[in-house]
Amino acid sequence: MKKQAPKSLTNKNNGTTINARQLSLFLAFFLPVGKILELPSLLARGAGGDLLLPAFLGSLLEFAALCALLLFAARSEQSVFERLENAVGKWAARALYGLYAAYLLCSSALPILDLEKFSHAAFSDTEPTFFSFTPFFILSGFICTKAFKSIGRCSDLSPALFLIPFLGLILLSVSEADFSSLLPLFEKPFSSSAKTLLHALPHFPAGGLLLPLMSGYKYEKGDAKKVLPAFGVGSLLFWVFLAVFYSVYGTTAAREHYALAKIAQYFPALNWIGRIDLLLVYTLTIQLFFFTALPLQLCTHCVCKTLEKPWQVLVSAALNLALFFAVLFLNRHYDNIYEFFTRSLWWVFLIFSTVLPLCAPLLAIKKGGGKASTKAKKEETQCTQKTP
Amino acid sequence: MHAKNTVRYFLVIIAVILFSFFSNDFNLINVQSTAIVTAIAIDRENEEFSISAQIAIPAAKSSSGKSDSQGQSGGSGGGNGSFASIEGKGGTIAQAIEAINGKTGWYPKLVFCRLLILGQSLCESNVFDALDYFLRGEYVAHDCLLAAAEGKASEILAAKTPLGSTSSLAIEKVLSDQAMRVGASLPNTLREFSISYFSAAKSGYMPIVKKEKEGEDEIVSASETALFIAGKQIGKLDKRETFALACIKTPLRLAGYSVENEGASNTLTVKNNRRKLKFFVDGDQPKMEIKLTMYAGIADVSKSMPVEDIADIGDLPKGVLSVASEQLKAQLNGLIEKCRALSFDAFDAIGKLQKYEHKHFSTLKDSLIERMQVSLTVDFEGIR
Repeated sequence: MKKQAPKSLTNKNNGTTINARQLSLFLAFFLPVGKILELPSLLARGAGGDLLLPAFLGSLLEFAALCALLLFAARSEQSVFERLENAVGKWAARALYGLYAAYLLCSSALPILDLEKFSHAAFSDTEPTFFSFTPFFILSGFICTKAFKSIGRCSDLSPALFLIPFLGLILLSVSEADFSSLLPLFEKPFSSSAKTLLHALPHFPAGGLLLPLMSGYKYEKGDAKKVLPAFGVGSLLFWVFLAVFYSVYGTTAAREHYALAKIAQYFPALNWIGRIDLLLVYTLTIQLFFFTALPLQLCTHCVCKTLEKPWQVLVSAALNLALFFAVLFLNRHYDNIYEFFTRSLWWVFLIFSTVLPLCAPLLAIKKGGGKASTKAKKEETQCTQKTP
Repeated sequence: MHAKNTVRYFLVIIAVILFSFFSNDFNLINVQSTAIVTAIAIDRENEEFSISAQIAIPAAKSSSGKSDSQGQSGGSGGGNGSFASIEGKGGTIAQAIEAINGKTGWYPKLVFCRLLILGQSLCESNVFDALDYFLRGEYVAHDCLLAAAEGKASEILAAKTPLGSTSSLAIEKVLSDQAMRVGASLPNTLREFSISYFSAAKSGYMPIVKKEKEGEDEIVSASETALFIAGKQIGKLDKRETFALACIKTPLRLAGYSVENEGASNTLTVKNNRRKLKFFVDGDQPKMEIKLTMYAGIADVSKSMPVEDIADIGDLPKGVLSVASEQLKAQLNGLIEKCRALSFDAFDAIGKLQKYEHKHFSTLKDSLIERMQVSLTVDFEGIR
């Protein structure tokens, strides 16, 4: 582990960094919101009552990627991309940025399509026009021009935006939940759960998002003790949601899309006082908008790095306009697109969100030294401490 | 300079978003061009579905408080609007609903549909031939009540009942939570019925609604229960059997239960019921233990009693509790044997076998209902 640098320098949030607190909040309360929309029905479809098993395995993959990236951050002052540039050359770093830009662009397609369908199903009584979803691209265009500091700030707000409505929905749902629906445990063969996980990999994006995001993060001693449990909290909330969702819907859970909007709708009092649970759903949707725009924001960053130009506004406008038209077209082929991403392209998601982050610590190994030179680190720290 | 530009960007974005938002009328629906369906009756005629939808017609109140519009096609007026019954036919439910759209020009909106009545002809085939439509739709409430009609469902929905201006609302009352708590009926929702249909047992139930003559008027009752296996009706429970099943299935509150004791008719008020069902496999013998405790006070006796005996409703006439226990036990035994004869899983034994005795599931699931030994303990306890 590297020596701790003075907090006044490394903790300074100068627009390109995200600190440990924000990273922890991101993992605990920002990341799970993307998993409680379409993923529960997808897992129920593949694994039935065993849906917690692929969910657990998926979280385990994300945890492994997070550990690898934290290990890398602990061993290196530089980001993965900078390290690659030093080790192999500028072209390699630009190529990786380009690949991640393409990956993030592709990985944003499913969440955007889901969000569009969800907003129509949850907030409209009949099928509205696609153009009612247009404001998302305007918001996304704005978010994409912002630096990583904005992700940190969103993470700071996430406990209030996520936790309160999430717990509210769970409380409203529990009265209708029959937890024995989850029994028997491990009824289906393990291969079934593994297959379900592979097809659900696009919904476990943590590794793919964190690799570019953590280029704006400086590791400090003890950060792992905050960040890893925070990820555990996020995963636990996700598992609780899955358990309650399946307990409410039982054998019909597979067809209940947009679990977020439906989990609490059978609370008995809602028959008389109306769908007040939608207030909680609205609140979570605000965060869902920001979560859905996150891959695009990171994609914009990666494109700018690939081109080596500070063209965030231009790139953001181009990306969002292109996506707007793409979604307009893809919308008609939703099932085919979903099938293509989850059945045919799962290995792409595995590579970018798990394999590449797991390889990141290899870049932190110095030739002949194993770990980064302690002496160099000490000298570096002494220099930093002398700086007024 | 940078901060100033950011504020400008924000203002422009807010203006564009507001424009997009307002240009869409907040995504609201024009109620004048929308049919708000409150109940649907479905019948099957050969291979064709015939549906009858009860549609609420919103109408503005005039200054005198009277409704500005009246119902159409046999609708009933009153309140702030009226109801109309429109029929549609088609090879699928969706086609039949589209037919309503074609007839009226209204887009049928099912999100407020609270009741689905299935005709006898439909119940003889797999009811999910029709119900799948409602499960598929994102704009249909899955907690709507289900009921099987005795005869044609459309006739039940067209019934003129003195209990309410609209038949669907009157039917909803006899299928309400309150009716369930007093054991008068065993209501079920589309969601719960679907969960049981897709479970290993495939056994489900729903109340039977039928018209009964009440003097010159007709009322709709739902005191009988239709039993389904794999979506097809295989039998029905009468009023007493329905109450017996309700004692096991639902929490009762203030349910009336009458017994004959020492030449007098005694009506008990069941204030609470404690239900314990334990399923296990002993060797290869499946067993179920049912323990039912009914907490009841006396509501009335057909013979007058001294004032000190009617002072406390918990002070029950001698022997009435044991008579009530024996009577309910006999009813429950009759129910168990009837379900056994029909291979109907009334107490979710197959579900329990799958969840708690999974190693025996593959060998016992097909013969479980016939082979299962049921031990029944029924107790009535007095409560004030």
